[in-house]
Amino acid sequence: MSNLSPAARLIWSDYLERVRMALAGLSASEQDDVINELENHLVEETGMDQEPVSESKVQAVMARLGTAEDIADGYGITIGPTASPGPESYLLIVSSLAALCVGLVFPVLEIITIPVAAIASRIAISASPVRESPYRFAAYPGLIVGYLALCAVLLAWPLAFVMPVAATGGFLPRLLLETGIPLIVGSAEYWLLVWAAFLVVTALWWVALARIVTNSNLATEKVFFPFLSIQRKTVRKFLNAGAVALVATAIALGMIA
Amino acid sequence: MPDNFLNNWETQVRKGLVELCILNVIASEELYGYDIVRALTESGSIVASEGTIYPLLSRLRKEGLVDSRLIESDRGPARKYYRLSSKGKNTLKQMNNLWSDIASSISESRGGRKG
Repeated sequence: MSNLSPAARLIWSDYLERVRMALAGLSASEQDDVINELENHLVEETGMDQEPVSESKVQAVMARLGTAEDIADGYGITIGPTASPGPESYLLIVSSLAALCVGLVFPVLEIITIPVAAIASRIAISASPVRESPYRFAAYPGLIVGYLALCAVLLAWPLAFVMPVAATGGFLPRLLLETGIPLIVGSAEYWLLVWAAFLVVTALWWVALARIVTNSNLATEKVFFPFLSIQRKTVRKFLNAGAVALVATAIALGMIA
Repeated sequence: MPDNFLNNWETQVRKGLVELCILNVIASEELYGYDIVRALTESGSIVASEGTIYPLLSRLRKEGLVDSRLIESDRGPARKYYRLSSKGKNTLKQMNNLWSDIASSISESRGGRKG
């Protein structure tokens, strides 16, 4: 692999991801073939450089290679705003989302609605000439449920953490008492946790299914993308903000007590 | 406007001939993907972006017209070398014949008009 500067690496990774998305209609092995060839192309164009390859040099290589859409066009895949999904695709996307909603409202029916939605999504993606559009996102119920589940978990995990600790006394129970959150099994928080766990299981199932039926890592990558791509600098910012918030809360509680 | 028409026409013709150019480039020797792109660029056969050649190679392989094998490289990912399959050799022969026929027909029609 070429010795890329951090900024150049980011641009290149983003480019490869866009190419992979544009080629999402192909099998995973075909996508890998093209991505490996592009990696080799970059190495040949920049590999002999002793200094880290700059952002501008990578951009120049990318300009010669063409956009993700150009590359997909080389495979005969039509992309772009000029193409639009036919009425059958809309119908399938709507059916898929409807099945998803029914499954969420009536969990018992999910055994039927999940496969129906997944198969309808896959057919919609295959039928549509659009490979890169908002419709595409809508056609992946796995992504939507995955995001919902992750949001629920993010909201619920502090409760999951403090509930067992609360019985031991100390700062956290005090915090809960002050904020008025009850710690009773069967309470709203308890059911929030149960619902979050249910969503997590459902989301994992959806993501796995999306991976199988689309033969692409796109669904999995997109669901976890915010966490996989997070930068160290951003993590530090979050940690700093969290520490400040914790100290401020402790001081405020101390003052109340 | 005529220039625009000419440019579009040239692009379409060349795009349609890229597969023929690729097959001719690897007709005599096994080549690495990047070398194929370089050969086509130097001969002026690529009017589109260089990256479009890689999906075409993948498609030609899928069609059974070219064979490929991976050879480890100390400079990066394993290199994929392409060569014509026996089906590809037959197809290339037919494509070259067809191209010659088209070129002859055009020459004849031009000659006929002059005469």
